[in-house]
Amino acid sequence: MRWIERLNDLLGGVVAWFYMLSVPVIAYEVLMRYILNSPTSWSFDLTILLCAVGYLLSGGTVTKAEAHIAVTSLQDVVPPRVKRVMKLFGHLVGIFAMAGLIAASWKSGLRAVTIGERTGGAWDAPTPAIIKPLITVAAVLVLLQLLILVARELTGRGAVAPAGKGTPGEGGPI
Amino acid sequence: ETWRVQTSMTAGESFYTDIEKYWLPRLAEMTDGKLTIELTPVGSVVPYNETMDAIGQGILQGDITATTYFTGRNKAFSILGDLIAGYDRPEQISMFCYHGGGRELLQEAYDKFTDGTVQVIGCSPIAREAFVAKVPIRSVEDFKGKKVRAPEGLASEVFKRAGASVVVLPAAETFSGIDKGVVDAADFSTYTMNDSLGFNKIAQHPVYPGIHSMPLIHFTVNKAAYDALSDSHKTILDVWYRAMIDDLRMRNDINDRQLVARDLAAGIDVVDWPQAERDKFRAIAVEAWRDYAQGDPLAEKAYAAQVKFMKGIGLLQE
Amino acid sequence: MIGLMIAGVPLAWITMSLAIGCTLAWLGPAGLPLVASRVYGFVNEYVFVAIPLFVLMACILERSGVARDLYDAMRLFAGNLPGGVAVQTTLVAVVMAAMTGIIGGEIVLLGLIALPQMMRLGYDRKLAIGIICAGGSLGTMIPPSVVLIVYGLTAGVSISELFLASALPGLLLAAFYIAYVMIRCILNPALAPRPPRAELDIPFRQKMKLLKGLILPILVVIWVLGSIYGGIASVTESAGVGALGAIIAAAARGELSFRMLRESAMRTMITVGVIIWLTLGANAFIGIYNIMGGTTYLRQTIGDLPLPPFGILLVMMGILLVLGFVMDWIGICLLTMPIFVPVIKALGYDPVWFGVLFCMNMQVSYLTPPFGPAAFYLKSVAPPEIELHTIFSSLLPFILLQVAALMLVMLFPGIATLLPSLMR
Ligand code: NA
Ligand code: NA
Repeated sequence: MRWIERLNDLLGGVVAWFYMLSVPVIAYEVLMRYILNSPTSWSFDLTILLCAVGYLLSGGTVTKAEAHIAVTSLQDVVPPRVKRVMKLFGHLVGIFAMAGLIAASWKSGLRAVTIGERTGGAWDAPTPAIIKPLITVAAVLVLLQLLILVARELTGRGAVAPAGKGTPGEGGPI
Repeated sequence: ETWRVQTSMTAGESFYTDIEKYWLPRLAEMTDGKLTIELTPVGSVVPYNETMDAIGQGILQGDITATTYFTGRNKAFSILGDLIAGYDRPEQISMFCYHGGGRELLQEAYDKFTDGTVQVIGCSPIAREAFVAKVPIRSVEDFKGKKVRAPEGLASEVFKRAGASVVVLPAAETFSGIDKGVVDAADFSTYTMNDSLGFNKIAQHPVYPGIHSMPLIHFTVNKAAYDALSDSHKTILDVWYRAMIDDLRMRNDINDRQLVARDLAAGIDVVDWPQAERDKFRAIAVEAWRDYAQGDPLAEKAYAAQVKFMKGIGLLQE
Repeated sequence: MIGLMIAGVPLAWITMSLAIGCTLAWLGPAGLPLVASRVYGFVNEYVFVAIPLFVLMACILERSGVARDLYDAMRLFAGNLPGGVAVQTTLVAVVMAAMTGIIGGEIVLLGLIALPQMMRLGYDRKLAIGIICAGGSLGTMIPPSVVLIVYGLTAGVSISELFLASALPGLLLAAFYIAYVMIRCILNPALAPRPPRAELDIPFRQKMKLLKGLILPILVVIWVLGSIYGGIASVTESAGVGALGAIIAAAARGELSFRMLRESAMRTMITVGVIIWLTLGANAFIGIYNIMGGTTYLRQTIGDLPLPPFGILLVMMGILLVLGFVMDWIGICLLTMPIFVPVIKALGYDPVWFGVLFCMNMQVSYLTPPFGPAAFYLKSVAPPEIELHTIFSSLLPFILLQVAALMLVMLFPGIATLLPSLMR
């Protein structure tokens, strides 16, 4: 259980820098193109790749922080017991969604890897062969994280971060 | 039976509206209403470059799209689908597709990447594109140092060898890119389409007829759905698609020519490359095709078939 | 869907479950790859790269003191103007709308920078929320705009004419927002506390010192706008250029540190993760909705209406408004335009004008619940005590203003068509 949470935090912490990394990638392209008239073939694809990996692999961290957007006003006024049932229900809907996404994505991910699918663009990066299987990986990570949240709700130990109120990034890794 | 067929066209472009208006009703008439098609525009069900799998899985029954969009799966799709600077006229590409082994090769490629779940009905280019240019580009020499937007596929390799700086820009950014001068020229679409989007107003040196792109548009359908058809319906689909593309091409060609005539009269610098420059560009391109295909058996096979056919009809020297 | 929302189920799970559920019901398990296919297409979209970059820029500006200094200076500048800082925030939103082509980045940026500052200055929370969501949505109304580009590509109309045509209606919306804020604040001055006399009467030297707070933000804006309009960077790239500008600005203030960059990166990661995971399901839903025959249904509805042209136009606007409650603009565009555009052309209406109406309608769709992207974007960065229902209820007056502006442009097409006709 612990290692899944650690893994999600680690991945979130790593991909956070991917967005930051896009900045010099774009700046380099703009500089090379505008000043030196020699645009890169890779900046475009690399930026998309960095961000896409970032979107997908941050899913586990966001779920762990219970930062997903929800209407919590009713939960806040019902008795704690009912609130726990409602939160459990929310996690179960999430588990259904992620199970569905895994079922939906694993085949195309596998195919993209086996045929070595690429973008077909100027750089011809293997973006699809990375991103398509990562959809499944991301969904698995979120699903496992949701199972942990369910277990925690059932054993009554509560969430680490208050629901929907994580202020991530404040002081140390989340 | 109604098939859901996605296209790579947008809902407002004349190809799409012409299919809806003239050709979908005809298919229904030809089949006594037993086989009809419901057309959906680009990206409406799955992304434009994901239709191949969606048809195999039966999510879509068919797709009318540019072959070159599947380049990421294999370079053969680019060699077959848009041999940059290759042919002079669209009809020559139809010849290659139907009588030069093009369709069979496309089927072979599809079989490889969809495990035989997709049937290729036909393939034919729909138009000769016009080249968007903000600065005059009248010869291969003029490409030197120009920033050119290229889509996926062979195009970037060919432009690069002609001396241009190739910039990767998505379709949604191409207009602003040309307008603000991020790029000097762009491989975009037909003269008619470029005109309706306003490209010829902001880039007043369009090259027409184009020197670069004549994308093959193919029609593929789900194999199981196809196999369930009667022989007569199979024949109808084949003939219907040939007739439709020829008709769409004619309509577009007339439109293109009328617009070019209008623009020439209005003093817009519509550039027509002399044949000698076109030949020079093709000579550069041939080497790009060969190197591009190298290392992939399917792409090499497609390249060999293209070159053999072009030599046969005198477009390339022995 | 609304039941699940009220039960507090995260929206990300609701939208994705809806997409999965509909796909299973309609196509069976074999159809599921549709969902993965759309997810893949969505995360691969280059123009969305602007969102993380804008969020990053916002996080850096917020973490450095730039935002605070900016608002201190703005307050001084505003003086006794009713609702002064809110009015200025709307103007800032208009300027930033010229820096971005998509919705999302701008709202997050204003949410991180303007919202805490306006609350610090004692502004009414609901007014501040409304102005940020409505003003921040102008990003797709004032050129550049991906909504207008996608409409242009879809309808096959000139993108430059669309850009020209949308400018005045965009400013009209901004003027409506400003007028509304000022009227509210005149009627009830408590909504926007004015700085005490003593604070306004500070010595000239001190004033100049405060005004220095304006310099860096203005330089960042010039830096970004210059990169777009100087043809140096594409619109999406300019968001990256802006993030670089924010880093340089922080460095110029001597506030750049590894810790600060790391915190900004982490905050960006969570904010973007929240936004993207919520949108994934909504986007996947579009595909299955199109398969379920949404278009066919719409065609039949529009097809045999015994109405005069303006009546048909009104019905179309009504359909767009209703779809705006539950779908995002890409879905609405894909679903409706294949049917609407030919009808509009056949009726003899100007498709450029119709594009502006569509774009204004999408402004409304950003704010309307239950699927109101503007509210979600703000929620992803707002302090936790600001609940989603608070945001939505703050947006109601602004929705009415948007509908009023929409009606005006419908009744007086000249507001949209004037600029393009001058340039023809
Ligand atoms: Na904008
Ligand atoms: Na809405």
